[in-house]
Amino acid sequence: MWSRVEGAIADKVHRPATIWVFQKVIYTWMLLHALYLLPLHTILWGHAAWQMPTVVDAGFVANMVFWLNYHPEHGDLVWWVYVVAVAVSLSGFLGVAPRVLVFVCGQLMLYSANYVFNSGFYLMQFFGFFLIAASPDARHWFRISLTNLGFWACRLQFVLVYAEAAFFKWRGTTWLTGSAMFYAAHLDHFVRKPVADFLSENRILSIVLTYSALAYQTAFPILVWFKKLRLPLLLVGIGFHGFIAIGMTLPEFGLAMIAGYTLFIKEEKALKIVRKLKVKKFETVRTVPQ
Amino acid sequence: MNIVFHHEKSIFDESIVSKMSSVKALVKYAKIKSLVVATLLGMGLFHFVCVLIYTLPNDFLPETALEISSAYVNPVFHQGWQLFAPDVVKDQFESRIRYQLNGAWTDWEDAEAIPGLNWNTRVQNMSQKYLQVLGGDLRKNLTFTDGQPNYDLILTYRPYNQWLYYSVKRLEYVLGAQPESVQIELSVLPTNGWDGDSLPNRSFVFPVFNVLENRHVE
Repeated sequence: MWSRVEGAIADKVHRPATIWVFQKVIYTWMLLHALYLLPLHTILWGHAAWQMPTVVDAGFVANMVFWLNYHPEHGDLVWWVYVVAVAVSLSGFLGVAPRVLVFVCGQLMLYSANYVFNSGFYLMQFFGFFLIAASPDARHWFRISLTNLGFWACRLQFVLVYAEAAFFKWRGTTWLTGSAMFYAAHLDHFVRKPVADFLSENRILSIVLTYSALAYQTAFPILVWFKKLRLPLLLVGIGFHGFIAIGMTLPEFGLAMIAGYTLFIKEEKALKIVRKLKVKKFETVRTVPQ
Repeated sequence: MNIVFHHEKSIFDESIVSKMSSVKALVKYAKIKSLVVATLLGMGLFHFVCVLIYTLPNDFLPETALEISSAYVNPVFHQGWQLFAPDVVKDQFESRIRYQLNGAWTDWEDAEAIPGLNWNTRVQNMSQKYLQVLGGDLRKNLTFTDGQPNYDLILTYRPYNQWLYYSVKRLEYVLGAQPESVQIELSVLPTNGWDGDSLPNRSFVFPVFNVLENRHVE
């Protein structure tokens, strides 16, 4: 039994093309997100930052992640190291080092300006962490293990987001009475005005959207493991998160969730993508392990 | 082990000894590989068990489990996925500010606007988070004396002070100068209309803060 498990983890990278595509997707998201924050970075980090410094309890790890709070003079340095490390990680050069920098700088930025980030950034940070040592063309069993386990950790993390979001919604009242979308439509800062007006005036539509969102988030963690249901499920999800990205003022979160769907694409599809992109390491791959 | 091999070397054929040595090395290597893979798998399982304990309701679990999971998850892997849950917020918050510059007080103006950056949704969402936290603190800690709000507690807590800090910095950015004093107003706008509720808007005007003296003056 154990030898089978060990073999599954350490013998070969099971979805090399999917992992390659996923890595590119998450670092592309990070780069776009950094560009979006670029006009704000001087008010978020550095000498002139607008966030009141945090004082945390003693403790090495806690103080480590809050380091930028105590040393705002390094805000610019951390920001630009982050941006460059994301770009290098996206290019694939220098292996693990830039990915470590992305995670470390990302955490420092997060803990000194946490209100500017939403769940999309947290999710991408965790994906980046799990795949720090991942290599789609790994040959050594240790690297293969890190790659396969990292990929599965990303999948579990992604499913966990849906499962917990649904779990907590079932404990509330607005989701069960069908009024959640109605109330969301009245939050000017989160919903764009035309969408807000439309939802406010269409109570039935609000109810339908509320229950649809609840049903989707509840079903996703289960249905996504059924191969036949996966494609329609992901297509519905693209519509759902596309609405969040465009109709609400959370484009980065919507896109982060859509990016997460890459984890569930078929290896054949991923292989087609990498071949179209003429990625050298996949030119010799003939068969697709599933 | 090495001594045994050394002894065998004199009895057995060289190639057999070499093969035996290789087999032993392979077995040893396989054991190390197994151990490392099992450790990696165990670390992964530990991570997700801790995250589940940390993020889900956990009152029924032993204190030790909570302490271990919290120590591991927080702060590096801190997360919470209560996305618009358990309920969508039913209040919207707005803030206005007035300030004293060169001795003259201005009228009340929008405390969230950042000229040139309002297109960026992060700006709106960030200020709204500050205000939600402040609104939550008012709900919990605001006391009333003779029907009038008493802000003594609120002024000592972080939610108000971090919004004050943000607001002063924003003004410095917009004006290119430090205001002498500022005063903040927070309005709570409940969403009405779903179940016939008609809750009134409420406004809270905090005492004047003298920036130069770093203290509230009323």
